[in-house]
Amino acid sequence: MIRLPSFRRRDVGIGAGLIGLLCVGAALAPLLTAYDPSTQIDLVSRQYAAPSLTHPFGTDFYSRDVLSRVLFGARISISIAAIAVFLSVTLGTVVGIAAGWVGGWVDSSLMRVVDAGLAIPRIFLVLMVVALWPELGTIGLVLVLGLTSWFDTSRIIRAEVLSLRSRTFVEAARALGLGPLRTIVRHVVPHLAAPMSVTVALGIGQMILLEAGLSYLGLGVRPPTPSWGQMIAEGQAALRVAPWVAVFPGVAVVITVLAFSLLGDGLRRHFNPRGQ
Amino acid sequence: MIRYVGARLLHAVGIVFLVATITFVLLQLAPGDPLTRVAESTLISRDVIEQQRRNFGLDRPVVVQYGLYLGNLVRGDLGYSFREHRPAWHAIRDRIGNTVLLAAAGLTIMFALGIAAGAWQGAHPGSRGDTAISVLTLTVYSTPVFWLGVVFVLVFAEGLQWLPATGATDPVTYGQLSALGRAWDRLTHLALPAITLGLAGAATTARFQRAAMLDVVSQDYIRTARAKGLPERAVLVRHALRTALLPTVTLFGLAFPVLLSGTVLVETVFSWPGMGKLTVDAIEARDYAVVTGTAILAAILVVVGNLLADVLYHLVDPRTREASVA
Repeated sequence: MIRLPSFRRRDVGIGAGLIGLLCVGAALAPLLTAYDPSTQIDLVSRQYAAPSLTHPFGTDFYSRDVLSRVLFGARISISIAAIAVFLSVTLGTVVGIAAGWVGGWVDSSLMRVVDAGLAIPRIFLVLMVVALWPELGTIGLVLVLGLTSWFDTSRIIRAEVLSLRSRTFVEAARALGLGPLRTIVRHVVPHLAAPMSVTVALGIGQMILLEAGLSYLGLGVRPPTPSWGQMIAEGQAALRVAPWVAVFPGVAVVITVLAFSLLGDGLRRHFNPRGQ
Repeated sequence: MIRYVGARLLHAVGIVFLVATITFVLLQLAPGDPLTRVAESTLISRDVIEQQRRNFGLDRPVVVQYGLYLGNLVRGDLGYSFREHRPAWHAIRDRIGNTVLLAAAGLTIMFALGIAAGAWQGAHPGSRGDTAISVLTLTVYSTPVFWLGVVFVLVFAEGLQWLPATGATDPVTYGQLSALGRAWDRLTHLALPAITLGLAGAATTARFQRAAMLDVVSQDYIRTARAKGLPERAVLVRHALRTALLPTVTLFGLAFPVLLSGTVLVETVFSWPGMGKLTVDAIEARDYAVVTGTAILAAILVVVGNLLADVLYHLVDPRTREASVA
């Protein structure tokens, strides 16, 4: 028997707990901080104020409260990632089921498209779309993120469906005279819940990283809407004078993504204990 | 072997063709044609715009445009960079070397560090060191690569002043340096971006390598090796690690897209004059030819990387030789 590090047994709990805390923090942001995220408190006396009791995370170039911006940024980053992942997992599942169930040329042509989609490094693909549709807005951004990241999900789901298709309970459903749609919805999809939940948890973490990266490049969430990536970019300009502007939003990203990674990894081990 | 490589090569060419098609479809779906925006600018000569319009057949039916587009690509014509006033390929060609250098350095750090850490963990499962490294790798895995870069700039460039934070060479002194001095200057400039990129990848490699090593050390032949009295070191390195490295070879192929995505961000953090930085700058200037060109070239790099990984796997794992064409 191989003993696993003890933290791994608790990681689902820690991950889910952290995510809960972050969501509550994001939801209650206006109650948790006395400052509005975009109010320029006092450009003269409070520009780049160091962390203190009044401003635990300090203030930025525009004398805005960094803590408040980090909290409101959580709302933006987590909800963009969650919706985009919902989109991509739905699309990936539909494509994966279509490819795995129908097989034949449908399968091979869908999988070739997936191969091509995976061959373009994701950020280059997103950058291309952002370049071609310059006035996207936040909803457009969510769509782009969701529509460009379903490729690996569809592969995972396809593999699952392929192995499910030949199982006896599917055969039984067919023998009972169930149509393909009913068989898929009632008998195949419930078995996809495990891989889908892992994909969602890990996917949200990765999506937060991608959105932060895009916003860092100035191509994601547009100011004045606060987003973590964009705050890091602003902070980098004043790294020597006011390191807190770039450091705290980064810590927020790390904790959030860590929480989703813990949850996703833990779920995977739970569903597939022999995998590790 | 030749048949296998041939089949993979054909597959690779097919993928690149599909990538080009995706790019073309995106260009078609986008509002206006790529030249309408440029045409508003007074800085660009009408002749160049008209020549580009003819070259890509923008006034002709979509099918013809598609044919011309593919034809141009095959001839290496990615379009005209209106920002740099020269063919997009020339702009990219000047930068691609820097990106490959950064990616190669990152790849080396990623595998050297990741394999060492993961293999050690796999050999000492449940130890305190294993737990510590696991927490560390999961944290790095969850860290945005650009923020890691920013923190390194803060600590090693701004704080300790050990290494330069921007560029590929020193803008002032590089011209006067000796050959050795130039090499050193390049190396110090490469250090921070490469370490940033490499560390992010090393976290993934370590997680992968740990699992692979764990899988192997519980197998019978390892027990046999121990039972016949081999020193532990030989058991772990010669017997266990050799087998446990096989799955990591597949990671080599998977690492390419992630690594290239990473270069876009890392190049921006450190103002590294590579393809990623070029793309980001091109977007701001609506320089489509460069943006689509880098995307296609990045895809080609990925496909070539995958091809290498496939062939490498084929070479190191004798079991795949019989099964041949997958």
